[in-house]
Amino acid sequence: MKFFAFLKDSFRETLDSKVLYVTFGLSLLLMLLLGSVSFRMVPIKEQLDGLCWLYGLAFGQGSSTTAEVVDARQLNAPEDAWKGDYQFTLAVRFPDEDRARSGAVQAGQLEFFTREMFWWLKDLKVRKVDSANKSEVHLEFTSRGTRLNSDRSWPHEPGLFFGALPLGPLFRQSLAYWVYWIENRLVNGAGGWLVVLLAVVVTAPFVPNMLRKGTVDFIVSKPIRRPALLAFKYIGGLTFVFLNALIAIGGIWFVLGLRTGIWAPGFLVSVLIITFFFAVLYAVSTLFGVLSRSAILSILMTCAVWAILWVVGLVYKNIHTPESASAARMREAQSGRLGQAEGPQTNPGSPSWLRITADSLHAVLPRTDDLGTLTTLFLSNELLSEGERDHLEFKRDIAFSWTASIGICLAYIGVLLGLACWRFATKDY
Amino acid sequence: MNAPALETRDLAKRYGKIEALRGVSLSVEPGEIYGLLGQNGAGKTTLIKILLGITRNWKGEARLLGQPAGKSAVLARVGYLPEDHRFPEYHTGASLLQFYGQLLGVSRDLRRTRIPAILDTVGLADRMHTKIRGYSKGMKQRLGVAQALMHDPEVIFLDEPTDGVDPLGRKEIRTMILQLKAQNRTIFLNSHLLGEVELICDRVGILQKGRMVREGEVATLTRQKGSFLVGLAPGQTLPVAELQKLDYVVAPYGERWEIHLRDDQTIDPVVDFIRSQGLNLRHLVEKRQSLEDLFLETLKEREAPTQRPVPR
Ligand SMILES: Nc1ncnc2c1ncn2[C@@H]1O[C@H](COP(=O)(O)OP(=O)(O)O)[C@@H](O)[C@H]1O
Ligand SMILES: [Mg+2]
Repeated sequence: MKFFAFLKDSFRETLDSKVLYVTFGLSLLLMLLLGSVSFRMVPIKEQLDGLCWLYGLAFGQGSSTTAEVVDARQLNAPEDAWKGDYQFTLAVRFPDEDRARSGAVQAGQLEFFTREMFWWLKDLKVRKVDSANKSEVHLEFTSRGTRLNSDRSWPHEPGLFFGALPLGPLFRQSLAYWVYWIENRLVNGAGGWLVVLLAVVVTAPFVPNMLRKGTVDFIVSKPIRRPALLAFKYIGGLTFVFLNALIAIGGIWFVLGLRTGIWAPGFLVSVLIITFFFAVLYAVSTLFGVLSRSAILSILMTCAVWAILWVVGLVYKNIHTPESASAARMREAQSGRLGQAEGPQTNPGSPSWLRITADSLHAVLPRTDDLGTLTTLFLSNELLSEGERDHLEFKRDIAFSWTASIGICLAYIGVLLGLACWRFATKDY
Repeated sequence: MNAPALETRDLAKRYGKIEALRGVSLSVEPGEIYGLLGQNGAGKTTLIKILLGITRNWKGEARLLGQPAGKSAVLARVGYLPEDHRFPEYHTGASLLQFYGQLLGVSRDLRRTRIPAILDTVGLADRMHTKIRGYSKGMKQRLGVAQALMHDPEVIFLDEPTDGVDPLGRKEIRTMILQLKAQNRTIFLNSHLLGEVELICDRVGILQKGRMVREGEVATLTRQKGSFLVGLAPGQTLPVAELQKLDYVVAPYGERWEIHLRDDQTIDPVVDFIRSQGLNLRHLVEKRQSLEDLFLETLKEREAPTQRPVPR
């Protein structure tokens, strides 16, 4: 009863600061934008064209060497594309015959690049075929079956405004990956960041306003104990942010489901994660609100804590995540030393003092950043096919644990709120 | 006898080096209007805040409605209008009372009827759904009165209730306080406006630098000992010289005469004397001093403590 009174009070206070309309406006905009995105299945020929274009960009050596699709077809034709057996021929075109004769490295790079992009083709065999033009090297690829499991894992290209603005060859991913990307990067990552920032700004004045000289007398002369008062205020702010996140994220989830047919309820976990992350920051904000009675100071301190947690999380993650195998291969390929098997490296350059500092800070501070990583893993598990996850090497981040991250964060919330309550309960107003 | 509505004994409070209260004892009976007077900084607000549990860490005893001060449950039966208050401005008058009413444990049904009624009483009915941000100072003070009364409290603390209110509004607040007294509510009033207090309080205490320097019923305190005003029928004159012979101190006072009694004298022989002279007595009152005079006098006494022992 009294709790709901505080909830309603927080609701009024939030509506009063017009910032809320910004959040709603932005998420509505994002919903509309996503609602207008259409995804198009890209035919194999077009994908290969894109591959050649990218090859030119990455390995073209000033566009003296280019690649081109000579021919492409599906061997088991009436079958669905994602179950297809494919045969296609690609040509590497050199400026002259001499260079074509010594062009083994370039041919190898094209083969590597093709295998990277078409990782989902099973049993991909390649052989050199003769060509009439002596300044060209022709490679014929043949595959048997795929590692895809439905239309959804076939590469799609998004187009904004119902396809009026196609995004081009750089943006071809499976439909499932797109949903994963939007949910993880766009909403859970960038969107969550923005939501939390706005929430911090909106909620930071709650406690200082309540404790303001001349206002505090009303509230502390009511028949409620002060710790309960502060807890209600805290949970009130939290509930409000939760509802906000639920509306925004739920809306995006719904729109995305309508557009793609992929309804992954796990995405809604983001709502909880974002609220929980905010709960840690709001505890910081509440403590400084009680101590200083200044909204500006609470915002500054909260953002400072946030920045510290973020940097520690980032450094820790970078130190402990080995370079991905595909990134290592890419490095080898670009340096022209393909197949020399240097293998993935674990951040060669990080000095030991950085390691020790990052490790110890990570051990004692709330692991908010780990929560983000864990959410990414969770979403990838829910949305991506196993082949895709293998390809993206998602098993690398396994060192993080939900229990430890949530446990330490909860402990911090407890300590910060405990301090705030103690100060509030013993202070003269 | 009823237990006192509120009571303090040797109440002392320090804020760091400042001694806000230095041993204050007072007691207010149910149904009484008690006025605590004193200059700014005398400690009046501190005393209320201690009783309401807003200020902590004090010494001595303080009880409110039979409970030790600071117990939160009893606060549901208490109304409080703080001085220099600032309402959360994102509320409207009505929504603020809804919020506070919920915190005070007023049921939904009661809130539904009482909030519009009390806002009507204080004259805010037409503005109850606009944000407090747009209220004038007087309107905010009226809302302050409304929130202190909405839950029908037994004890009402009013800290400088007429501060910043225009004369008409003051009169209304006074009327309201007297109405509350008629409903047998206990009212504890802090004020530095002595004229107002004099008009409504049953009892007053004068606080100075954290000490109670005078306390008593208004009527008793303002009675000027041994001073009467005498008026006769038009055209008649008091034989001053004769009375002076009887050892009375007489001085003309406008169209009347002021008579000072010495310690062993009473007024009755004067009345007898006037009758015996065949004069017609039209006016006889015991002369009073205003609370303000008393207050100033008390302060003067305190500043020069050698003149007379401090009254306890
Ligand atoms: N929260 C506080 N912190 C420090 N000093 C205070 C505080 N509240 C009141 N005081 C001091 O205590 C004394 C009494 O103040 P107060 O009770 O407000 O007096 P009054 O209400 O009679 O004007 C003043 O000297 C004032 O400065
Ligand atoms: Mg005061």
